[in-house]
Amino acid sequence: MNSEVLLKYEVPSWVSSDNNATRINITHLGEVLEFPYKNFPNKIAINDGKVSYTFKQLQELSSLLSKKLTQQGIKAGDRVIVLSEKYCEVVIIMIAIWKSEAIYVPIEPESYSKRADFFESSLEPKLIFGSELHKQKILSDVVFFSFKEIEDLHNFENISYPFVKKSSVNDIAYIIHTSGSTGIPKGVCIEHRKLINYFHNHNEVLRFNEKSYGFSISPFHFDVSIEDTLLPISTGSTVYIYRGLPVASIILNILEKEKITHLIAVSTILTLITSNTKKLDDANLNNLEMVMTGAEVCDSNVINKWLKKLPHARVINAYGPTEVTIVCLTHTIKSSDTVIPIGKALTNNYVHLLDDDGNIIKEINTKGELLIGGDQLMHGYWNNEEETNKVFKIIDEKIYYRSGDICYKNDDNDYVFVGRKDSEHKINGRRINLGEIKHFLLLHPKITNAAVGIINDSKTNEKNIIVVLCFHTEISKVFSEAIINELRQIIPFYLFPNIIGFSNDFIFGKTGKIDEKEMIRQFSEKIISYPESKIFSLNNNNILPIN
Amino acid sequence: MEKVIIEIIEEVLGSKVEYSDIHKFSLMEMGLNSMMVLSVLMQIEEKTKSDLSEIFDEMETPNTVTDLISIYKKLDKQTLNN
Repeated sequence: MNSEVLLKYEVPSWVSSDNNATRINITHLGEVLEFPYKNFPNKIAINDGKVSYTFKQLQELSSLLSKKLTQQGIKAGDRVIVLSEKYCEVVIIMIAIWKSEAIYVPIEPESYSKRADFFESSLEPKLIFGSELHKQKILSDVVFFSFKEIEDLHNFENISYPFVKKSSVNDIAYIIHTSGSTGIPKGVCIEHRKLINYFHNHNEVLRFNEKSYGFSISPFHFDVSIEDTLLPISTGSTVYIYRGLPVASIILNILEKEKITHLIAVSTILTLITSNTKKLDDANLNNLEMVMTGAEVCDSNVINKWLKKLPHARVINAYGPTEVTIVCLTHTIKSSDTVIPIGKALTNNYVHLLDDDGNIIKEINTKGELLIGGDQLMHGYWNNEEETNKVFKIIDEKIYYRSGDICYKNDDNDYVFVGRKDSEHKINGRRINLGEIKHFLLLHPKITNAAVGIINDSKTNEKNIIVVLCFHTEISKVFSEAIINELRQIIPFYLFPNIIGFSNDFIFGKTGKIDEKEMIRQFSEKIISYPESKIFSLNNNNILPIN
Repeated sequence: MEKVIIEIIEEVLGSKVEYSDIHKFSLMEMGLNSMMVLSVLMQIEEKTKSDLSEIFDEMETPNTVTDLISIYKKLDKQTLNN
């Protein structure tokens, strides 16, 4: 598509194009495919190596599915849960949900099965999408649609049902759940307008256009999947959807074969891709224009390998809580960066650092909590005014989100992430709350108390979840193994502790409460002598490896 | 070959695996999450001096020790052929 032809069409505000192109103001995500559908109908929009869909097919199938949803009684504001496997068809589903003016709620199937009662009572969904395997996990009599429904749509005639927007741009587009300190997940509500603002603000940095080839590896229940799938296809880019395990050699092969131009990978995944140094050295990745990472602090050795491999490309560190719509600060990494900053705020995002007394920090190199405001800020947490009020702060009549992240501003006015203020951590790209782990541990009837912490593995520098479990009963190898097996049935795998201490001893603090921090500190010190063991018995100040 | 796979799993898990369990339980039931399975696969690549992209265009998560043995065999054969 050359620019002359492109000029005939209207272009959404976030797509980089010739200045003479007419700009259209898209206000609702039901319209998100209008631009590529009109301009590149027969171009491949998404492809997973086995199945692919053109923009025309995406537009038509999502319209047909939307019609089907409407026939099922789905109306504006209804919640539609998608038990999100990494299928191409999820893209059709999410757009169909928006065309029906309902709310897209992607949830990881395993998390759903462990908390189905919570999700069903809190969200009161009108419909749930999933694979046939998921059907049995649903507790209430809510309507279930299998992903197979999409295959059946192919039998319809190719009729495009035009999307007619009725609801307000302030309506909620999606709800994505994050870990909550009380063990109850918080549903972050993002409105259509905010996501469209995000597209505009972030694509100034990403620079997706109709010539780009994206690579989507993030699960659909992560908001990064919107960044690596929906944003690129809205610009006419083609996206390769990768649903397998992130094996370095395979991914590098795909990047080369599919001529990927934009790679977005949270730091855990980027580290994995980088782990096969020989393959990385040999791969021809000349098409890559941009590598974006984030979600956790990325190892500078990993970054340096990409800077060396791709001197022509931009390597970008991105930062953003789910509550501020995916990404709100970025930094283009330079080889001279000794500490990699999270950078500066995207257009129309505003940041402040606050000290412990709630005062704004103006000085450079002074640490404080990062607050973010602007036109990407969430609506609030679903049905949870108390938690919403806790994280919102008004400064000069503007609302800001308290991130809980401690940062400072360096000499170049770039923000640098230091750590967390509270008990939240990022592990393998997931935001986890230590309180949530404790909540699950205490569901076990024999555990009387639990202390939860995070320690860094000295060899791999990976974060490990470490817990001390307190029991009134005598601890043996058989007993500990039985407890671990029972806990596996209760705790989602990504929250499962890596190192476990079984104890009959409690440590009490000055207030008479159990001193969890001290228990974790002492346990962490003691396990150093046993680097090969993961399960321990703790008694009378002695430690004994159980495995 | 089974012995090699078990050794790798034990290294990744940080604990001993009962031989009687390996065909009774899935990898997840044995305590291996997807990141751990990935570590196992990377070690298999290392041991066979081959890489998974020579056989697979995409890597589905193996579910059982038998799946891992089959992957090992394929990679090993690939190395011999090369």
